[in-house]
Amino acid sequence: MSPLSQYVCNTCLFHYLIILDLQNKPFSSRRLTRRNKKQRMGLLLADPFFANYSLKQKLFDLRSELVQDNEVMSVLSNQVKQNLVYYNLWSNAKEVPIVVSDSKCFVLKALPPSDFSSSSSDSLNFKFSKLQEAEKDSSVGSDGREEYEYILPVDMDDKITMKFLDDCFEQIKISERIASRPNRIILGMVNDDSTIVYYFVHDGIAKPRKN
Amino acid sequence: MEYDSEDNLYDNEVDEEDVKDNFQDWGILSSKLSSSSSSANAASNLFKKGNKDFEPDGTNYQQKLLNNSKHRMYEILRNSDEKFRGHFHKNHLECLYYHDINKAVINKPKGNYFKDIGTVNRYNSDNQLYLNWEELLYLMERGNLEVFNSTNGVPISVQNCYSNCIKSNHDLDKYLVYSTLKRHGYLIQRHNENQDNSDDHNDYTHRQNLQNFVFNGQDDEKSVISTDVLINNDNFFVRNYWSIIKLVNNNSTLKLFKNSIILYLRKKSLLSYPVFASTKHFSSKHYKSYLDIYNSLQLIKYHNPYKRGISFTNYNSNSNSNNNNNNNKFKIIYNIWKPQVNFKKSNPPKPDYKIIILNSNLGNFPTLNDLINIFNKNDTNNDNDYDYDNEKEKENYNNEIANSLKNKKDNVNSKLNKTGKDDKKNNRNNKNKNSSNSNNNSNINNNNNNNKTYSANQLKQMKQKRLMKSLRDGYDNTLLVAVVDNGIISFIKLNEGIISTKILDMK
Amino acid sequence: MSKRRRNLNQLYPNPLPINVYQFPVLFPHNLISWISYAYSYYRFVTASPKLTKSDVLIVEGNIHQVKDEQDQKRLWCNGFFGKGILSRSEPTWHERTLVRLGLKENAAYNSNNKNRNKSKNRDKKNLASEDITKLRRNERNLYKKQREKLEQEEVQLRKQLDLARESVDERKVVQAKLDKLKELKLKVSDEQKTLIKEINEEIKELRPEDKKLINAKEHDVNQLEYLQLMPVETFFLSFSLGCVNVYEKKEIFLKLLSTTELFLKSVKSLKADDKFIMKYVVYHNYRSKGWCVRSGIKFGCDFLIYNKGPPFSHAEFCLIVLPNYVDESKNRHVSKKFSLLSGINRVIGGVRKSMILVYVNIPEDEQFNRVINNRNENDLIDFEKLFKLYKVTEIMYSRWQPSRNRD
Repeated sequence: MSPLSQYVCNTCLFHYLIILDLQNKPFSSRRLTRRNKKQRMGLLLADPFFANYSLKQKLFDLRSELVQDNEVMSVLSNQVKQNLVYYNLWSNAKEVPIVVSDSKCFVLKALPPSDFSSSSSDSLNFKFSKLQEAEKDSSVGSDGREEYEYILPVDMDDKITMKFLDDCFEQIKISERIASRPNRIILGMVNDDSTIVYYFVHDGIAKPRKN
Repeated sequence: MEYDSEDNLYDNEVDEEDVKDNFQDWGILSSKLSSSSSSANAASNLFKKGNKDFEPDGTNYQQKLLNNSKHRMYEILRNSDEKFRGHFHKNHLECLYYHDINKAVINKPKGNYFKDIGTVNRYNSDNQLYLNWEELLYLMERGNLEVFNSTNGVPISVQNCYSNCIKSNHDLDKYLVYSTLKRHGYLIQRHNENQDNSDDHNDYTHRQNLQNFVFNGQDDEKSVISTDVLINNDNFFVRNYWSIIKLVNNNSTLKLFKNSIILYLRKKSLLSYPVFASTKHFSSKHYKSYLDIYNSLQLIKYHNPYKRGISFTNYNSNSNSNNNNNNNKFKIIYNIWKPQVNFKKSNPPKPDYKIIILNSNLGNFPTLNDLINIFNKNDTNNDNDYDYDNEKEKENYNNEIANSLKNKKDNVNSKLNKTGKDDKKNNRNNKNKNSSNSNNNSNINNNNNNNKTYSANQLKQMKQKRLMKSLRDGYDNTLLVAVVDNGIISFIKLNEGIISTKILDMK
Repeated sequence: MSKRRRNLNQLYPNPLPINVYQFPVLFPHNLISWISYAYSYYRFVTASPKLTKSDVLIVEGNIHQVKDEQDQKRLWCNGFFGKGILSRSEPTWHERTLVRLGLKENAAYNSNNKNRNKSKNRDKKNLASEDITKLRRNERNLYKKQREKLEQEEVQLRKQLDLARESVDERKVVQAKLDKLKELKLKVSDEQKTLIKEINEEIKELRPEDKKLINAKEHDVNQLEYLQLMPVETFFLSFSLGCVNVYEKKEIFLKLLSTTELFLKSVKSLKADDKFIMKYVVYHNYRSKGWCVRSGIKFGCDFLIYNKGPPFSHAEFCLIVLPNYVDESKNRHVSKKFSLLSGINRVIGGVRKSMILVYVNIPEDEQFNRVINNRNENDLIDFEKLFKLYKVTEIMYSRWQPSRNRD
């Protein structure tokens, strides 16, 4: 094992053990000026990644992070959830665990903001010809009721098959205990630069959106 | 407006242009029909071009509008009056079809179709032209040409003609592309690889061999600034210096000594760390400008079309073995020229485009080797002199600026300038440096005058714009790919990129 | 315009987080200026430049975080590295959220209605790009609503027309109405471009999620956002520029990673055609040519390259990274379908960018393994040798229309 120096620092509640690998990060004696040293030490002691936070906040964050770790939430769905709630301003986001092709994953269930419906789902519900409307036994959400969307977080490298999507629709129906499969789900594709792009996937043929 | 335009600014424009291209307005055609019924006329008045209906709304009114349109279309298609379908008596032509060579001979060619169509029979002094099968089909399809059998003089039906001429699926694709481009007014001739390019090609391979010899298998190393280049330098001193270094490197004690000295110097920050072997380079060496920084960061090799001979070997290595199978596929079929007045088929200028024809159901996008092989073979910018090319671009660009300035003043003048510019382009292609016309000269004068008034800042911006434009255009060796999918053709324009050959410098 | 440009140049001085050494101005007749010049030259040769390092933390899921505000600013303003996870590009979420929740006044929203039209353009500049998009979306929605209303009216009129088959007079009246409506429709679609709609910023009831955010005591909002770097960005900053410290979080330990460790963590598999290596080769090539390289996911490509950076201009080119193997049959196997490429090209063409296929020559396994396995005494990979095995070739791809290129 390479020579390691260990710094132990003690914040109020948590014991931090930060290990600095000297072999990978050789400090030349000259460069470790006093200011530099102070900076380094500060970095090690005060956990730089929460530097903006008040101490209390820091501890809160740490606690919540630990809690989340215990919940075995997938990193992916966490990213999508955060993006939905705080960037796109959706609300009531919840994880729905589903089992697709023998592996566990999460689907998110959330309410879109009020201006969402006018841009995308409205045109979907916009009156077809009378004939088609009659055929449709249950028009979805036309009475202004709050309508949940299901979001499936996927990684850019994931290969998605028709079977996988089909299973998703089916699993959502089962775990949500709803009468029929959802009309559509939203794929939330997570890129390695934290951009998330969303695409509708409809269960069957859907009327094109009027632009 | 078929697609989402929320996130970009330009969609609407593109859309409108598309509509212009694809929307068949039968109303326009029907208004030309003098014998059209009064009801159709009334309908065309009623039907103004506007927003399209999105979906059926269940009203009779909408149904009626649709019916009117449909009716108009049928009217025109049904109407087999001499005006729209069938032969024109005025320009009626006749030809004899020869089965064995799949060509036709036309005796008295008249009309203005023969600018690019047909090859002159050298052995016959009579006014005779040979037509390739696609040329024959095109003229016949247009209703200009009647085809007779060469053996018995019996006229050949249209159906018969198609089945005789088109011998394979690839032929059909070729004909579709040919007729589409002809109908758009382009001048097209078959690309003859043996005749056209044999000299060029020989010359090229010769040049390539020479360059291989000169560079001794070093492919693109030259483009990367590295110590390896120095090693190959013939400078006596440099060579000795490197031999010493080698000696030092081979001797372990000397090496240790050397290393410790270097370490010491680095600690004293008198010597900088190497760029990529250590992460400390930029905290150990000052830089005067960003250009220097970029130069020190050069690491990845790149294909440089301006130095074709050097990189050529890379792609040729194993394409020979595969070539036999795919030779047919990735071959240039036609040369294409934009519509022009002074075209001579006996001595055509450098084609504006060269086209290969592929079927989307028979394969995927060509591989890089396929493409580079074609690019290499057809690069007619013979002189590899990079600066010369740049200089020309500059001139062209300056002309453009002059043009755009003049444009504002008056339209007539700018039109003149434009033709001047086009001539200039052709000149460049032909390498006829001497034949610059008067129009050209006036252009240059103009822009000299203009240049004086530009501030340094403006010049900088112009330079930037010019660079961007040349990067967007890519290397001047365009290849068109016509992709045929069940009769629908889409054209792709391919160029070699030259972005990596230049360093953007902000200052 | 030029004033704005100068402002931008001040805001974003360097294309990379490295400072250029500034020599003092030399006045040939002034001895003192000679001395100061000589001194600065001496410093130029001997002193080490000040290079402030930023800290990057890699957490589970290969997410590269930069949490320190100074570091974020340094990486964003000098070369536009990274992306705020809750913003389009520059991390502005905290600021935007303060405004959204009414904890901070924004000049753009504050101006009263009278001034609004006059100061419209000025206001637009003050908005974050996310807000401008929102504004544009609102305009579009408004237009759609108007259109829908007109269309419904039209259908009604058409139905009347159907019913009034017999009476000629009534038909004429309805027909006239219909024509008028049609004109109105065209007008609305024209106006759509110039229509500006006010952001209706009446503060709605706070979502429970928002309530959780607010830190009542400090009249502030908890910062949830950090800057996220792409793995290729982190590797470039670490390997080529050496201006970041990369840490890995393992439970509650922090470990400083060497370049080699970072590399091994980033690759999916140690193969010559690993996606990370290919992407890095392309990334490094364009960064070293002075371009600002950012992710192109929104346009279905791998990278966008900007002349200077997003605030200066739109991206010029979209890059698609493709492999080129020595084995030609393998190339045929992996070559893309025409439909796929033309689909991407239409998207890219829609935003007036050029599409470029960047082929990366993949070295043979033998060559690759030799470099990977031939580590130095510290078990580090010789990356310079490794990346010199690769080579890029650009092929520009664009749609060509016979009707457009005749002259």
